[in-house]
Amino acid sequence: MSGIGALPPSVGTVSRRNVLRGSAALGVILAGGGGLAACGRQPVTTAGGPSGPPQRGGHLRVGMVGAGKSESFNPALASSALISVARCCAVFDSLLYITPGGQLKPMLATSWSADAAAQTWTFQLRPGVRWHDGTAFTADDVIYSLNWMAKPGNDLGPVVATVDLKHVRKAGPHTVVVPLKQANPLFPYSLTMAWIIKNKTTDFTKPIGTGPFVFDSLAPGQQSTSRRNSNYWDTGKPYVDALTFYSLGDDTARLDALLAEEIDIMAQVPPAQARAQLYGDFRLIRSRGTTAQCFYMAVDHPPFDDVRVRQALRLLVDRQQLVDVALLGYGSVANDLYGKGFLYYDGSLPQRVRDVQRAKALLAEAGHGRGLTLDLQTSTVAPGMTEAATLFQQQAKAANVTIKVTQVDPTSYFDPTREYLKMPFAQSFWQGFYTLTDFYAESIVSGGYGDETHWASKHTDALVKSATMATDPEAAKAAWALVQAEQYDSGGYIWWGNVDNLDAASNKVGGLTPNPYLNLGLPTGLTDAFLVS
Amino acid sequence: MTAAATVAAGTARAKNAHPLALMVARRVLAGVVTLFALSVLVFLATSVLPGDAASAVLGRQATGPGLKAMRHTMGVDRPLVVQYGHWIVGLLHGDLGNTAAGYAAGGHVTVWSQISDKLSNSLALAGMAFVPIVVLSTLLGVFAALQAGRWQDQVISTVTLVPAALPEFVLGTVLLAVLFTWLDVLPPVSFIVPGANPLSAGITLVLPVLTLVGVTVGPAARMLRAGMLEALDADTVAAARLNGLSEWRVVRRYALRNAMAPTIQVFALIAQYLVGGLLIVENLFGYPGIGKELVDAVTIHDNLEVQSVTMLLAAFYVAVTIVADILVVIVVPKLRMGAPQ
Repeated sequence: MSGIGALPPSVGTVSRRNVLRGSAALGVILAGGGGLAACGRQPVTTAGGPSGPPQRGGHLRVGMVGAGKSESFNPALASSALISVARCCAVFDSLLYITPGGQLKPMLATSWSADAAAQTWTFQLRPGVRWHDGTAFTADDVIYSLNWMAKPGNDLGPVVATVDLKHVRKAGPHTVVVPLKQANPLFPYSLTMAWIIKNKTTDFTKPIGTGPFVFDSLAPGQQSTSRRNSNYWDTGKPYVDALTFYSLGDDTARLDALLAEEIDIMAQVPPAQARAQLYGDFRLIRSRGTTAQCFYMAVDHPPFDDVRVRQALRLLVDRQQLVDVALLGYGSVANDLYGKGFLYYDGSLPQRVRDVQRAKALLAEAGHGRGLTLDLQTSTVAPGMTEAATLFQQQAKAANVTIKVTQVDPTSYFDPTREYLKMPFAQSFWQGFYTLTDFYAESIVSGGYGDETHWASKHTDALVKSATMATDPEAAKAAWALVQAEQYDSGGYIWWGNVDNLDAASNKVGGLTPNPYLNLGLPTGLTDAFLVS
Repeated sequence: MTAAATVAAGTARAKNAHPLALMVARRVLAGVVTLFALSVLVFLATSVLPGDAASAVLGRQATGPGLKAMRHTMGVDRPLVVQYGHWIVGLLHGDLGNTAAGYAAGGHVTVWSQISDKLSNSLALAGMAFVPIVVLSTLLGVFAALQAGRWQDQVISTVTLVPAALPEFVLGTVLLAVLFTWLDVLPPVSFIVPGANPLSAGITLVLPVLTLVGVTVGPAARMLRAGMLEALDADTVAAARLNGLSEWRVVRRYALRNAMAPTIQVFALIAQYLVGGLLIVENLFGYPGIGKELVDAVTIHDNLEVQSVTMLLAAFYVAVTIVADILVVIVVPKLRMGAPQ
C-alpha cells in the first residue's frame, strides 16, 4: 500500500454522479444548448499563476478527497488519507523536510550529524520555537514524540523501528541524541514526515503544534479551519491568514467547487478531469510522481510460487499502454521496481517490455502451455486501477492466460482484518517514501506492514540490512543493486507505472511548486502558498 | 398505514372509554414496540457487517496489539449482548455514545456533538422542501382533479411525472448540469460553516430543494388528485350540485373537506420520504446534513453512530405516522366518535 503518505487518492466509490454528469452534458449538447460552448476552448495547462513576490493575507480554501469520519488531526493515524496528512502538515512540524529536488532542509532541527558508523545521530533543535499554546519547544517534546511513534497502532512506527528508544537522551535543552539499533546513513530521510507533538499529548481533538497554522475547528468529513501562526519560526510565513480544508470525496463535486471558485485549490485531480474537464482561469500543478502502481502476486501461492509464472506475467504487461490508457498519459512506465528517482535506485537495469513469445515459452515450461486461469482482485482505491486491471486482462489473452477480474469493496481492500495481504493476485499503489530503505522495510522485509508479495526471505532480509547499513556510497549502491536485481529477476511485483501528482489551482494562488513526493507540495506547499487580489 | 381501519376496529370494541385517548395510547404503545424491535434489528444488522470501526480508523495498522487496544477502547471487543445493553440503556438516558471519529483523534467525542448541527441542517432543508411540495402538490392535485380528463390534467400529469420518474441523483445531476455547468447561476456544492444557520446561505439550498420538490410533487399531486376525484364522486357532492350550490362552494365545503383524510396521509408520506430522500440529495450536493452524516458513519463502520442516528430517524418516522393517524381520526367524525362503519 504505502508509507507515511499512504492514501487512496480517491476512495471514491465509482461515482454515479460522474457518469451521469457526462450523459447529462451530452443531453445538453444534443439539445443544441450551451454544452457546445466548451468546444473550441482548450483545457488548462500547467502555465499561469501570479508572477512577482508573495503577498500576505487572504483565506486559502483547499478541496481534497475526503476520508469521511476517520479524518482527524491525529498524526498517528494521518497516513491513510492525504487530507489528514495535509492537516497535520499545517498544524505540526517535523524535525526536517525534503524539498521537491530531494534535499533535506531544517525545520524543528537546525542541524543533524552522525558518528562515523552512522549509528548515533545528534539533532540540534531550533531555539525559541513556541507551541501554539505559548509553551517553549524543547528536547523533551522530541523524545516524547519518538516514544509515542513506537506505540502499537501508530502509523509512524516504521520511522522509529530501528531507534534504540531506551537510550534516546537529551544533551542539553535543545540537543537530542538518537542511537539506532543498526547503522542507517539515511536515517534523517525517515524523519521528513514524522511530526513532532507536544510532550505528554494523547488527545488530538484540539491539536497543539508548532506548525504554520493554528487549529480552529474540525468537522470530520466536512471541513477544518485554521489560522495563521504569527509566531511561526520561519519568519514571514505562512503568507495567508486562514486555511480551510474542505473534504470533498466526490471527484465531480471537487471539480465543480473549483470551477465555481468555492475553493482555490483542488487537490488530487483525476486524469480524466485534467485531460478534458478543466477550463478557465486555472492551472494544473503537475509533477512526475514517486507514487507507483503495480500488480502483485503472492509468491507462496500457486501458481505464483513458480518463478516462471511470475516472469511470464511480467512479460505480458504492456506498460506503455497501461500508462496511456489507465492514467491517460499522466505518468511514466516503471520497471518492476519501486523507487524510481530515489538514491541508489538501479536505473541501469534494462526496461522490461512486452514479449509474448518468451512469456508463452515460460508458461509452457511451468506446465501451463494450454492456458492458465487467474483471479485478479481490483478496487476503486486509486484512479486508473480498475482500468489497469481490465487492460491487463486483455493483454494477457495473447498467451492464453485468462484473468478473471473481481471488484473488491474499497474500504476492505487495504484493511488487514479483511482482504489486505490475503489476496494472492491484486493491485496496489505506494507513495510517501523517500528512501529505498523505508520502502523495502515495509514491503519486502519479513514482517513488514505491506508484505503484499509474501516474500519472507531471510536471504533478502540480510541483503536489505547490509544495504541499509552501508555508509560508503559506492558500497551502498552495490548492495542496493543486489537487492533490486533479485526483485527485478524473480520478485512478485509487476510495477507498471509511476503516477504524476496532479493538483489544480486558481491563477490567484501563487507559490505552488510541483513536488514528486506528495500532492500540494506537502509538507511546506501551503506554507509557501499565497493569494493575489 | 391503514390507520382508519385499525382504529375503527379498536374503538368499536371499547366504546365506553374515550375513543380518541384510547386510540392515541394504543398507537404510541405500538410505536414504542416497533422502535424496540427495530433497535434489535439495527443492532444485529450493523454487527454482522464485516469489518469494524477499529480497523477502519487504523487502516493498514489494523493488526496485532494496536488493533486489540483500539477495539478495547471502542468497546467493540465485548460480547454483543453487553454492547447492545450498554447502547440501549444509554439511549434511554439520552446518551447516544461516542463516535469512532473521536477515537481516531485520540480522544472522546460524543455522537450528539457530531450530529446536532447536521440534524438542524437537515431539518432546515426538509422544511424548505416540505412547504413548496405541500403547496404545489395541493394546487396541482386539486386543479387536475377539477379538470380531470381535459388537456390541463394531461399537461400537469406529464410535466410533474417526468421529473418524478427520475431517481434523485439523476434529477439532481441534470439540474446541476443546467443551473451550474451551463447557466452558472447556482453553487454546485453546499458549503455550510459548521454551526452556522443554513438559511443564512439560502442560495446553497436551492439545488437540493429543487431536486426534492421535483421528485416529490408529481406523485403527491397524483395521489391528491385521486383523493379529490373520489370526494367529487361522492353522493353528497352530487346532492349539493343538484341543490344548485355554486361549484366553488361544492368544492370547498364538500369535496375538499372529504379529501382531507387521504391528503394528510399523503403529506405524512412526503415527510417520511424526505427522511430517506435527504440521504441521497445531501450526498449529491455535499450538504452537511444527517443523511450524509449517516453515510459517512456507515463507511467507517461507526456502528454506534449508525445505530443511534437510525433510531432517531425511525423515531421521527413513527412519530409522523402517529400524528397523521391522529389527525385523520380528528378530521373524520365517524372515526372520532368510534362509530361502527
